[in-house]
Amino acid sequence: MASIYGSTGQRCLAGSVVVGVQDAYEPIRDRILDRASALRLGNGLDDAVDMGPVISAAHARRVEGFINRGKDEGARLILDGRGATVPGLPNGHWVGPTVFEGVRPGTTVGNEEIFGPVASLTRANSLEEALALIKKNQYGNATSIFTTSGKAAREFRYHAGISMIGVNIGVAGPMAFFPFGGSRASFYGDLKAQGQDAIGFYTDQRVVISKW
Amino acid sequence: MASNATDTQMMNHIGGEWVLASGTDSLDVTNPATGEVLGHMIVSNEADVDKAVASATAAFPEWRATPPVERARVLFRLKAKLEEHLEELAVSLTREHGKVIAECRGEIRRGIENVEHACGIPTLMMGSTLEDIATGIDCETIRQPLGVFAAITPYNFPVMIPMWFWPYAVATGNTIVLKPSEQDPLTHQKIVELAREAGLPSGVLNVVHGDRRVADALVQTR
Repeated sequence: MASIYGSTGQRCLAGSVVVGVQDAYEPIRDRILDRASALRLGNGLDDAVDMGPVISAAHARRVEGFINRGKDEGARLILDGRGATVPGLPNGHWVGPTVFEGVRPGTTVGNEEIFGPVASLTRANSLEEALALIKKNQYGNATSIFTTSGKAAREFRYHAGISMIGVNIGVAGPMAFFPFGGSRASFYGDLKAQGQDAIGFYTDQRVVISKW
Repeated sequence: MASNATDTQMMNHIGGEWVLASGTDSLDVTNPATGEVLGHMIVSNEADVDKAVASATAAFPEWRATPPVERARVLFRLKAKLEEHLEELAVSLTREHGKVIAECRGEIRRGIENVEHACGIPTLMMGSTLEDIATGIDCETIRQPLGVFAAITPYNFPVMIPMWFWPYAVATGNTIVLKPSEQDPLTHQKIVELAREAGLPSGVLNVVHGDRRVADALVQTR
């Protein structure tokens, strides 16, 4: 849940598409829907609040535009955050927790980075089919698997082809001493942030060959 | 936190001084939960960017020659100051970004961890040597800083993401010009003030404020 709705979805590792494999799908959908419905929207300085606003009115309109587009493209909107309000805060940029199901690959909400509190749910018949969905998407920043099977986790990390991988971790954000960066359309360059790469980025290795 | 910059006026940081940008357009920084105006910014123009780059260029030779252990000491002092001010920085971050306070504490912690990591620069930056690559001939590698860097950072992690960049840039002996997001630059302005207090020399970390026009001017600098 933190992966999808933390920072109101405005982080580069935000969970966006949730794939339930076989019978796991319904319980995942029901739990996400229950917990998303219970999130309290408001001023982030209030300890009772779970989710703050998005950054600007323009970004709220952009996220709502994605939600409209998802509906138009045939996904089922089972929790609608459009037009959310918070008592006493009429000037906040509110978008409530949103859940789509039946999101098809190739659709806008299935493919694009919404950067808002929107979960797009879909079902796969096997781990292989779920991995194929990852490969179809142009982006490759982070992905996670939730499983009790070591074999499935191993298959996932072996084949996902994504730079930051979580195993039973929703936000696989590397700490300062490890490299932070994506793959494919989520990455431009050759060295990542943090870790030893940061030292490589800010220095050049000069080679000196000496004979005395 | 003493500051020459007021809490509401965004100031460029050039050559160790807080200075007003000289552009003609201005922007407001607002609290996305309340709509309250938190700060004002004058959009920097090309002359402001040129001044920041010139300041970073001028500071580079002396900073490069400062021993890595001394550069690390500045970062150790900054780390202590960030710990001391963590809560007020977190509140400031929630006010300008909107994310909940626990997430802001976590973000600042991620920023501090990058400062901590960069404190290891004397070992991180070591090169390697092999004697007798041919008879009587030795080969070594040395990591050398490159000069002036620029960082243009996004709104979603306005404390952590700048700290993916500038602590390493300055630890390695480079100087840098930072353009924070125009949507939430206030908290990082406080952090730059803490870096000054920690003893980061003038011109090593420069800041220019503004929108994409400033980013464009920065990337076109030669």
